[in-house]
Amino acid sequence: MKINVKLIVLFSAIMVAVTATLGFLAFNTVEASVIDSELLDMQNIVHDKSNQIETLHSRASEDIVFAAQNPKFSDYFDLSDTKSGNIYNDDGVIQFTSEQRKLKSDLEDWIYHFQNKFTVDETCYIDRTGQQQGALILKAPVPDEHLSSTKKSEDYFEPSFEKDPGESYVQYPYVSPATKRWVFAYTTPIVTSSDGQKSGFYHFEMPIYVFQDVIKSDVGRMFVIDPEGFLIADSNYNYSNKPGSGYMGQPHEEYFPSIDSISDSEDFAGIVSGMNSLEKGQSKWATYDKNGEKYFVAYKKLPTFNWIIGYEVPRSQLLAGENDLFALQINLILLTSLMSAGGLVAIIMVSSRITHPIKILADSCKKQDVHNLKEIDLVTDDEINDVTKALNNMIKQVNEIGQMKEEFSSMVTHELKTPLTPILGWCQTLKNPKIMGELSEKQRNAIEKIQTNAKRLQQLIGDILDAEKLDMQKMKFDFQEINVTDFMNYLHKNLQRLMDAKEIKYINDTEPNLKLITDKNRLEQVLTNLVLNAVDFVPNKGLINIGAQDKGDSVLFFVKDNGVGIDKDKISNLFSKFYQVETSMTRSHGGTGLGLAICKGIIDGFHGKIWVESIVNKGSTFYFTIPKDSIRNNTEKN
Amino acid sequence: MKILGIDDTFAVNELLDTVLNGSGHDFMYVNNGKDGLLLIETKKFDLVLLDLAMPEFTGLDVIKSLENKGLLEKQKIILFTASALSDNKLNEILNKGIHSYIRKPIDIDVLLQKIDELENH
Repeated sequence: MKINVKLIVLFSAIMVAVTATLGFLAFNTVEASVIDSELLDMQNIVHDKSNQIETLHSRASEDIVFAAQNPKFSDYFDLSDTKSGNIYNDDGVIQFTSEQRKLKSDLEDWIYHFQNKFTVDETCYIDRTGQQQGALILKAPVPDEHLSSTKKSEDYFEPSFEKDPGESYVQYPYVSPATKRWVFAYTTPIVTSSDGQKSGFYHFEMPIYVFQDVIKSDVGRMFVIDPEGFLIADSNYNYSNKPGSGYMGQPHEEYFPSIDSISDSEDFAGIVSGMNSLEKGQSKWATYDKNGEKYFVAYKKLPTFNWIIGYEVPRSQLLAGENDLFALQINLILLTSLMSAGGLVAIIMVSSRITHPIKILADSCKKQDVHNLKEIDLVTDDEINDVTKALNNMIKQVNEIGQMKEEFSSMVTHELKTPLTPILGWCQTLKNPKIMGELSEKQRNAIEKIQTNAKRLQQLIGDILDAEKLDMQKMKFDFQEINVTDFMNYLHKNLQRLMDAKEIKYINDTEPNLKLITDKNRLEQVLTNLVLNAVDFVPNKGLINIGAQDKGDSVLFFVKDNGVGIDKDKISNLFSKFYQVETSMTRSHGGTGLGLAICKGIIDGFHGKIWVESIVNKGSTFYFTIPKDSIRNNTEKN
Repeated sequence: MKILGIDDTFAVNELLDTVLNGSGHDFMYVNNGKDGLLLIETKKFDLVLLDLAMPEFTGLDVIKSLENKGLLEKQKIILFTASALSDNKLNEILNKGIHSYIRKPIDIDVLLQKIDELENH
């Protein structure tokens, strides 16, 4: 992956992560404030509903206190018949005296009218013995066995008598024996006027669905929990049309849903236990998860009842209609995109600043001529500068080494060449009878051998020098127009002596009047080399055919032999340095393995081509072309 | 012939001394261009064998000095040149009036032949 792509990917990821995180935080902050305000609303609703329940309660309390102050109650309880206790007939029905009956009738009339003013199921007054004395629609007294096993009549009566006159007590819900409805009852003591004794209490029942009407809610779920864990009222539940089946003894669970119907999770159970430990009138809120959604619940312990009113709303409903929040979400997405886009542009600019010098560096390196490395001209204010410096330092060293190598090889070859003149010269001189006198045959042979080897050494040094020059592209060509026909005739004649030993048939097939601008000496070097090779590989009395033909833009030269030929798989390596087809054979010729490589180097220098066509045991033909405008190419190059 | 050799290589001078004096010539040599120039100016030589590549005062410097002093025309010279010297450069030098040249390494037979040619000219 390219550096700039890497940077872009990395920075984009960071940008998106940062903006997304910031966006998320911002959104959360705003959402939290929205939820805070919604929760406040919820708590206000809870307060409001709690106040409504309290109003109902206080109204009922005031009314009952007012009713209990009717002096007719005192009169009734002051009767000696009343004080001596109720008299029941065999059927268990109270037998009232005429005086009792008269006062009771007056009270019943008054209560009847009184009741009409309020939402009351039933009213009655109850004396100290726990007997109901003034019920309007009471058909029968309530025996204890009708109460639940845990609730006795005392549970209701004793707290009622413990209240002071003017105070009221609220009883736990039960099924009214008269109306068969779930009710709760208000009670307040009745005080006789003469001695201040609490001689009874006044009682009336309010149907439980009154609360149901109060807590109706369009959004969310509102409920009232009693200390036993029952939903006394629940906006999700219909109580009103479900009459109780028995008297006070009907179990609550048959009528009231359990708190578990809201949530049976441990979280919610914890919240409920927290609710129950609240002080009266105190309110709080909490959250819990239900069905994979977050729920908010605001709750309050009623100031008077030992009950809790709760209001539960799921998060989705809480935030529904919060258009600002939705807009914020859109804005945040837009902002994130904008920041990412801006960041991307910045990163592309930054990365191009970083990669641009690298590209310059790479291009400079690619363009380098390996024989003449140039220092890279690039100055930056970053690490690339260190790389450039290091590279330039390397280039300097490589150039120095190249120069040292050149100097060394030139020195070595020169030093090797210098003694060759005296060696060859002394050999010739020794063979000169005028100077050195006649030599014996053995002496002459020895000198010949020295001469042959010295010449071989001379050839070797020449080849190495040429190869070195071609390698360094330092071979200089000396172009001049030559008559190729004359040149080939000269070459044919000049090399004729090489053919004598093997009695080789040596033919020249060059077109007449062929002219070419080239380096004559180098051309001679190439052709001589090819002919020498051919001589090595043709059999005795073999054939070597040299020649040149006009090919329009170029001149084609060839050296053909009917020698052993070259294997196809060896042809590709033929023009490589130090490659010899058959070592044993070339040894006799004394080749360095550089001959063909030098030929190729020279022909390349002429911008020509060299190749070979060969059939094993039939012979080989070496071809090369020299373009007629090779001098122009060379001038252009220089 | 009275021949002067100017070459910085002792082994070559030694060889030429043996060959040329052995062939009936009067050969002497110096190993630097300045001494050679001084000898050419003071003594008359039929032929000078001049090495082109010498340190400091080169063969070309000798030729230029002779040219400046007007002595070049009268003086027969055979030049020893490096094998790598290009034809163009060689021609440039030969055009100054040098009679003959031999590429190194010196072929003694060729040298003797060229000396013979000049002697009989």
